[in-house]
Amino acid sequence: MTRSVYLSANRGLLTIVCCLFTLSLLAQRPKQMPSSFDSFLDTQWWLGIRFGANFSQPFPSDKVSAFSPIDYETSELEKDYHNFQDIGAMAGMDISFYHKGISIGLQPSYKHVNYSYTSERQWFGTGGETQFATQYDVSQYVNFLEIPLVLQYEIYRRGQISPFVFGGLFYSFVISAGKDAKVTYFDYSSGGGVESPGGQFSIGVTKEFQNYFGALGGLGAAFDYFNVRTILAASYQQSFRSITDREKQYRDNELSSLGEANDKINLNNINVSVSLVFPLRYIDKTFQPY
Amino acid sequence: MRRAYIILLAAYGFWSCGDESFDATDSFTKIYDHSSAEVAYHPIDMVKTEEGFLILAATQLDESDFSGVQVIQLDEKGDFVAEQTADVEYVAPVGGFMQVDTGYFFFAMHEPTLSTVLISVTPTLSGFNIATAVAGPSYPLAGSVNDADELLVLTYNPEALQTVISRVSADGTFLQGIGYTIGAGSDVEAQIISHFVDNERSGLPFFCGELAGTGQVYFNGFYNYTLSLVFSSFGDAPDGVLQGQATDGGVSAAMPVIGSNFSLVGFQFNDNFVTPAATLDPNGINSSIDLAQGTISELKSRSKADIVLWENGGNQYVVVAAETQNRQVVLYIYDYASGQMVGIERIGYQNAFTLSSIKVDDENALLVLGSTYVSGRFERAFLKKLSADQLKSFIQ
Repeated sequence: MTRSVYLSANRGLLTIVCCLFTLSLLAQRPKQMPSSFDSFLDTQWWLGIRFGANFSQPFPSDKVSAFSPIDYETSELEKDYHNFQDIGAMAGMDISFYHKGISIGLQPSYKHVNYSYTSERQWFGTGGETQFATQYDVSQYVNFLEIPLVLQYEIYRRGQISPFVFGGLFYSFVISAGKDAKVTYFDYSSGGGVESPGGQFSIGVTKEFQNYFGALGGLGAAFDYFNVRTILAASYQQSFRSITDREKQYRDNELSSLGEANDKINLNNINVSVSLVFPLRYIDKTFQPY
Repeated sequence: MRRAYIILLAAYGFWSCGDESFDATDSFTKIYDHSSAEVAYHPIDMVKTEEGFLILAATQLDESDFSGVQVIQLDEKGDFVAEQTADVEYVAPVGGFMQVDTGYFFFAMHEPTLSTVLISVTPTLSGFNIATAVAGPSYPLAGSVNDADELLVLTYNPEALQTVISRVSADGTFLQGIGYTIGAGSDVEAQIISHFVDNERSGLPFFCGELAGTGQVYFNGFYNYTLSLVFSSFGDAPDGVLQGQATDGGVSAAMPVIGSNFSLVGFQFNDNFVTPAATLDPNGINSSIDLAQGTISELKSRSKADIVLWENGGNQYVVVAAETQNRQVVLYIYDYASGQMVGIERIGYQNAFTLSSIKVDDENALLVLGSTYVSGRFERAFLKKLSADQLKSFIQ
């Protein structure tokens, strides 16, 4: 055995002995109490503001029209809805109670929802050629007071970033609703199509809408920087009740002569929000959480 | 396991409570559209059936100056089911559209013979059953049903230059009739002919009925050169006359409430007036202008009008329908006891709406029939059903 090999073996043995000794010491140490910082975060109330944007997916399930066709199919009267094209906004509060990775919270918000659709009708001459056509483009907005009840699970917490998933239920109280309809005429009676405006109408339709409710789910992450917790979240809302009052579907409205009537609509949303929340329970005045 | 059932039940309850139910037959507004730019619908009157509704309409005919006969069948939700057009030799249909037992009747004209025929249809439109009601030259002007389930028909006899009121049984058998002169010369007759061949511009408010329990009939028609409300017991001369002023003044619509107490709408030149409670003298000579209690500037000149009695909560309300300057159909609701207007509702926006008739159905709902101009040009029939609750909400 050479000297170098001997020294190497000794160093290895010494290292192993040192490691075993250290481990035995660690095993013998008393259980370490959680730090005040960890306790602070383990159980906490959070309160703040929440704002964001939403994109609507109107889902019609009972399609109606003020027109009852005599010689064509009712399917020709169906509206062409635009999914996730119209941006809305929301703003409100974010209050939650957090305990060891699980939090439950309310997010009451004023929510402005937009969606739009298009409808077309054509009338024909005796030879079957199109004589006249009408297109109307409708932009519908509805304002709600929305109250989501959210259960949130923190996937893991590492440093100042903690991703989470969440789900819950929501109830939305309708506050107001309005409709803008733009009518365009196309006259083919002289051969070529002549386009002319048929008017643009804005009407209040609050009475045609109703409160609705549903479930939501999504994911997000909390960022603990600058003495405030910033929460970015994205969710999908599925409604379980039509936002339109079905009793009013068949009644007269200011746009009935265009054939306009609300379908039964389950309004689904993609919401993207930012919350700025603050802890309500401080340890003491000297505590510096971040 | 038990907890799982409870959670599933709760989830189902939460989901299912969103599927609210409602009755689409309670109230609705429907416009009956046709894809042809060449056709137009001129609704006249409607009747409720066990299966839904029937609409009597006039159509344009290439073969005749008179309008053709068309009946449209609707379901209980007011949706179109079927339509049927009578043979072109049957023309000039008139309201009302009447129910006797299980049959639905209206009068029209057999053009080759110029005689008035009684046409009946079934709720499912299984064809037209036609009987001659008034033989000889007679142009139908209006029809109604009396308390004995007999039919009254108002006609014009061009040979005798007479307005004729007749009683007809539901099988078309002529029972009784009497004619009264429209006046010598051709001026009045020309206006009657224009009423038939150019109704949109020159239509006149012909109607007829019977005073309950008296056997005395009334009709709005030409008598002695004047469009008048005439009372008759089928005698050689009328019992009484509420005179108009040629065709420049008279009664647009009238409805007997109790005895000779009427609700009526009248016109004097371009002004319209509503008298919700008027006591008429069916045995005297009076003038319609004396009943005018101020004019209603909202109504268009010589507006078409119709009146029904609607009862709610032990109160009687007179519902008057007419057309506005703004091309809407307006409903004025009057408390019959006080004669005060208690509610207004307007029907129709964006495009013009015209009135055909109104009726109260067996659910105490109000049916409003008329036409609208889809895209501002294509005349289409509309039917609006206002539930009793909706009507009640109009009353202030």
